[in-house]
Amino acid sequence: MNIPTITIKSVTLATCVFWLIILTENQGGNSDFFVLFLLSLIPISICCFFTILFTIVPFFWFENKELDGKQIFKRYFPYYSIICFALSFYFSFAAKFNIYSIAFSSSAFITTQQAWVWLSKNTRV
Amino acid sequence: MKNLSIIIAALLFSFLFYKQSIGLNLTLFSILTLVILKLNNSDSFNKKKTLIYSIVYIITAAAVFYHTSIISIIANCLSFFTIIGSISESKSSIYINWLNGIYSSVGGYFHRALEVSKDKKKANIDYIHWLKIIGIPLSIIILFIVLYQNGNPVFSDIISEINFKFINFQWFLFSVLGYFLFNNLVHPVKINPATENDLETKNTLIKGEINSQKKLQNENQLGTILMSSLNVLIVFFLVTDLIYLISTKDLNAVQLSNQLHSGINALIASIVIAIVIILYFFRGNLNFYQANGTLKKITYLWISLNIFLVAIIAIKNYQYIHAFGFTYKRIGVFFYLLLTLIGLITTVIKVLKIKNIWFLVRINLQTTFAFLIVSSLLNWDVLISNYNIKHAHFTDVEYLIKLSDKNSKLLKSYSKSNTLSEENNKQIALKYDNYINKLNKLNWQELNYEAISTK
Repeated sequence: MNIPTITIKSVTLATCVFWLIILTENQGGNSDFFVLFLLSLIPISICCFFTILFTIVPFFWFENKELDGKQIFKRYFPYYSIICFALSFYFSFAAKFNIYSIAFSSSAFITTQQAWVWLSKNTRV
Repeated sequence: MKNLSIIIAALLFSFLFYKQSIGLNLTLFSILTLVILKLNNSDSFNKKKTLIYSIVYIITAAAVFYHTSIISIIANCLSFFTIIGSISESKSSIYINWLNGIYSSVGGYFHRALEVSKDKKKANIDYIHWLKIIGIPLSIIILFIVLYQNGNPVFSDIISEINFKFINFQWFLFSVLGYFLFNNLVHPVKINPATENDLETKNTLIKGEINSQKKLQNENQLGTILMSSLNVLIVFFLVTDLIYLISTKDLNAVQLSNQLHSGINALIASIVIAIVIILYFFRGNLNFYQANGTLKKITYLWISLNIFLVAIIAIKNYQYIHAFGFTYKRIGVFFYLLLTLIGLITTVIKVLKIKNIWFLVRINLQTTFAFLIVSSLLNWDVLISNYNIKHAHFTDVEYLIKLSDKNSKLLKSYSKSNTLSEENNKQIALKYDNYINKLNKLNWQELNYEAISTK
């Protein structure tokens, strides 16, 4: 399991999804865009690192002696995926589907799901 | 071909839902989903269960178009997950269908991403071929449109009326969401080992190894004493409740409400504990113990007395409704009582036919789903308003005004033919005007039966 590489890939994915959605609302962008983009990398990186470390990696740490990555994925990912979707949807719903909440929850959902795929591919018994 | 159908479905998805509220679009989406599912899983539609769920899905879609209530939207979404789950595994229980349906819809793409990478079977996509198939006809069609526009003024006017302003980057991203959804639906996936375990688990209890006859005897004794005591207690409760019901007349709303709610609380506790206790005693080999006849009989008696308790509360609820009309809470009490009754009857079947706990879970969840579907067909706001205006001894107009705007027309005609307070008349007039304005402003995607009949 190469957690730093997966975190970097996840940060890239989350940043792309987040800003792609934000930019649909303000298509021309603004003069501070580049500064905001760079600054956003800090909270996105922190969120990605801790989310992956505390909510996904433990499945692989506790189960990797008996099961391989694909088996861990098949056993736990469906429930994780459903719960993650429910939380993301509820977050957007509670925020009345404003663009920032949609951007945050969509990037969180897509990134966590993809992080599972990357971790599963990188885990061997 | 499969990809092309998904792309078309994704574009239609955007066209139907982008910046629109719910109405005709959800009904059309349901039909589109069934078409896509049928195109890609035609074998599954030969199965009776999948066909039934498809019909249920269409019925809920029609209900959404007819009155667009929250309950019809919820029923439609649940039917959507049920049909997807049924295609992924038709023989599984309804709760596994829901799980598989939700998982296929939200995580199917990622599930398959892992499968593809492990199998290393990446299909070679001929991009040039696709470019030719889409690009050449599109370029020639555009060329001909330009030519015809110059040759025919009527054709030119029609073409210039077509407005593609709604297409922007956000619209495009919404189409990507549609593509993600339909791509997930094309081949629904299964959650394992949950689905396999469900298929292996039958409804009938299997006799286990009896280690100690003495232990079974003690358990039977304990069950008999406990059930007998509970029977005595419930009889005492029912007698006192009946005396109170017969002796008291002309209760006011607060008294009736308190009585009903205390009855419901007692019922909830009584039924839950009753079913848990019965499940505990009849969880294993006590079902096959030869001397369990007395315990079984007093269990049936206890369930019957609980059914009697349900009947008493139903009578109280009916009295309450007869005097003060329907509200959502009072209708909810009837639904709860009906589900409780079914829960108790299925518990009798469980003990009588030696079924396991999964039998109870399966049959009761299926019943609840059926009730949800049936209740989604009714326009509750109109039904409540209609009954309260025509039949209730006292009509709570304030409550009817607070209901959704679907009863606006009914209230308007009620206010015309009855003398109401000035404040109520104002509120009803405002509600009616807002409703008519809202109906007139609806886009075609948001239309429902009411809007069409008003226009």
